[in-house]
Amino acid sequence: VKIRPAAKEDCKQIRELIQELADYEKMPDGPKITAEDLEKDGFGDQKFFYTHVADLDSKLVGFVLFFYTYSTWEGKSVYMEDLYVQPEHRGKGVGTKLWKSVVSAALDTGCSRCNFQVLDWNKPSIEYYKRQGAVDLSAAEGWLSFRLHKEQMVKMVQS
Amino acid sequence: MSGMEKLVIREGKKEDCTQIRGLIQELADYEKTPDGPKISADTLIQDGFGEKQFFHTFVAEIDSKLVGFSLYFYAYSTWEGRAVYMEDIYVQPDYRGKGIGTKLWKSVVGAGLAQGCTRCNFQVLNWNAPSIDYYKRQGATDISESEGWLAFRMT
Repeated sequence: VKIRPAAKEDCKQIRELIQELADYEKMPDGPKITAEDLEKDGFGDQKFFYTHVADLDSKLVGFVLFFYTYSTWEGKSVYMEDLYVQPEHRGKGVGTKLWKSVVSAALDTGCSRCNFQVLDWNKPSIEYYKRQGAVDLSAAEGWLSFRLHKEQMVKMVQS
Repeated sequence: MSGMEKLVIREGKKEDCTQIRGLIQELADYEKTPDGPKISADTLIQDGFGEKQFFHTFVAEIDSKLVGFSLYFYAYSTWEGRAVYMEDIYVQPDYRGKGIGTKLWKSVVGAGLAQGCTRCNFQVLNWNAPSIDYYKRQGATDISESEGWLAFRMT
């Protein structure tokens, strides 16, 4: 398995892996974007995200999608949006290699934090993240995630 | 409160960074974590106004004094595409209740919509009832509650 930055040509396979992750998260109707959206948003002039993939003989068996964020306390940070390895390729360190590649890129960029979210029922992942030294800030500090969906965004600017 | 007619909401500039750093401190004090902010005004200048911009800001200004700010950046959802993330929003206590915070938030949302974003995400501390109520009144959903998301971090 080779860990490498994704190329535009990987977007179709990445879109499929995104679907597999949503299925695992029990929200199969979640992903609304297309492979074309990924090409435009990740490989255009302004990059909204970066990806690394786990490539096994040209078949992608895992991916990690991330972008740079900012903390008014500690400065540049990296946010890991998706991390996924296909079931049959788990337990071999592929996920850890993908995560490490993000952390490495982030440290090169001068980041001091790596943030991500996990669903509260996802015990295997929670335990894995904690073993790698990550802290549950929802428990430790009481952070709740809030969201305005597009409908509410439009309503807000029109009011 | 005098001065409201002179209120200007505008994009933050390099020259605002010293005052923005002061407001970041006030927000950390409010959040009961005064030792949180470790970065300087110079770091803000470098990271927000350099070649690669790691964040953007809007400020609320009355007679050259900044009374509030919002700091945001662009994010991505593998489900819905481009998103905007509001990292900080703060209005000084004396200037609250007059819609300044809403104007700052609206500016962020407007910038997000202009970039094709379909989500505006942010976090709030679970004890901060006034802010939670305010965000819900504006139509935001607590997705920790509805979907079970936990925030994790590695330093």
